[in-house]
Amino acid sequence: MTLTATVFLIYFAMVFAIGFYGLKKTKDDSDYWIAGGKLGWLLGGATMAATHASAGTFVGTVGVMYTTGWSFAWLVLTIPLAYWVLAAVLAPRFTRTKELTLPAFIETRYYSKKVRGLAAAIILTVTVVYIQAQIVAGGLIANVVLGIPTEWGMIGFTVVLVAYTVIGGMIAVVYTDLVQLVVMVTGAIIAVPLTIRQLDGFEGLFTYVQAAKPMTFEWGGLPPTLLFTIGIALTLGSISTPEKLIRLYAMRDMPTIRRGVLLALIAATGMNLLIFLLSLASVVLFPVLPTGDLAMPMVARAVLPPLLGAVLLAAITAAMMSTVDSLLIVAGSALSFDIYQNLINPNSSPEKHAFMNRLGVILVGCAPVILLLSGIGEGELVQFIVILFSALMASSFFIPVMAGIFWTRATREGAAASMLGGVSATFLWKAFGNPNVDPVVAGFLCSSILMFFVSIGTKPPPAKALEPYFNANDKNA
Amino acid sequence: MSGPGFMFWGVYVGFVVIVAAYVGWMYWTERKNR
Repeated sequence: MTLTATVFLIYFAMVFAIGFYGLKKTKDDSDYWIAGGKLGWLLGGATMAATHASAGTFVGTVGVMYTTGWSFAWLVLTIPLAYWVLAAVLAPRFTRTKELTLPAFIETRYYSKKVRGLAAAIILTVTVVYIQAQIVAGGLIANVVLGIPTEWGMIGFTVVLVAYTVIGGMIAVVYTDLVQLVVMVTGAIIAVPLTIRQLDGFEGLFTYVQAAKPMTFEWGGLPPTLLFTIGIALTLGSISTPEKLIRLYAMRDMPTIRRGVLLALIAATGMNLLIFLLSLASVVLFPVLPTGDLAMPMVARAVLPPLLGAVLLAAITAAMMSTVDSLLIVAGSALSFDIYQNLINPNSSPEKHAFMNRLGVILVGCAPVILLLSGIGEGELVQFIVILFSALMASSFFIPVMAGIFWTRATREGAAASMLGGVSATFLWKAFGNPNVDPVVAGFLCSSILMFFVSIGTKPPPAKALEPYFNANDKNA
Repeated sequence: MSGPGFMFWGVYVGFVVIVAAYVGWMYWTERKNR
């Protein structure tokens, strides 16, 4: 207990120190939201990977693996493929203008402040739900580690996270992400061999798993349609979530992006593959748990020696924190940069910007925990909320971004209809549709159809909006 | 090795293959641009 608490205290102190470093380095909006846009591949790739690996990776996967078996593991291969599309197809055109947020890109390409406001509103709503899921996982960890009530854990994590993100902005986020990635990788690399050894190596692991849960290594754990369509949700979601797209703006140039994405895809996928082994082991070690989300903290406490257990718990926490801090940046910028400064008060002074940017992060940071404490948004396994978030982001932004950079005929009306239609169809399918088909299918189809028909039915975009993305002379490679 | 075979190891092999292909693509792109 005291050992674990010490590890956590050192870790939090480090994170705060980085927050203040970020404060010193932050001079303007660009520093606060995209770390000045000059990141190298190490910081850029590390922040991508750390943001990708969330509480869903460490905490949620076990629950899914327990109920559905190993077939879910195959979905992890969508991560490197999606990242490849991101670097090879999307980034070269998307980064021809350097914006500070995804909604700002929407305004530049779709020549409308209102459509930008709409994009920001969607990001704000969906992100709050996602942060909630992560904070719940944080509460569970605090409960297991420190023995404090889950609610106090949620409040405590929120305070730490909001504090360093508000102080240091994106600069603090990328440096803490690098530290957290190192903690995560260390935790996973140490925990896996020790845990596997407890089960007499791979041979033993397979035998025990077959005995405990014979269907683990069969394809039927999840209905094939669901497995396939979740794969689509994760692929499209990995490409078009705003926290990933702004990291392309944060990196210096295309060669940097290609290397950064390589680092991110190796780290994010590799970490998942290690965690899967821990998940299998915990199926054997803890066959009866109230919720699968508890399994990983249990491995840390019961299987590993105290110091290493503390490191694994810090790793789980790092996964959660590095995702939430990035989402705070995305949601905070949507609120203060894309909604307040764009629609409500366009003439505010730079000093006011600095204040409003931070107020935005505080507001979006406190909302999830307040909602949770009033009983809204509990339930579902963490990993399924992660998948729903992917589906919502994919069905609102994939088409507007892709059509924006590859189809000159895409109009602002088409973009607005595509985002609204995509997000509504996803929600409706989730509520009323066939549960064996992931809602992304409905959302994505709706978003594509609306983009196409509404665009060809409305006035073509002005040349000025197309110029940055379709100018053949400018080769951004 | 006994055990689940391809169902299990295939994921790891697939990962290595994709990473290798990405690295190949990256160098090819940069040579082409030079």
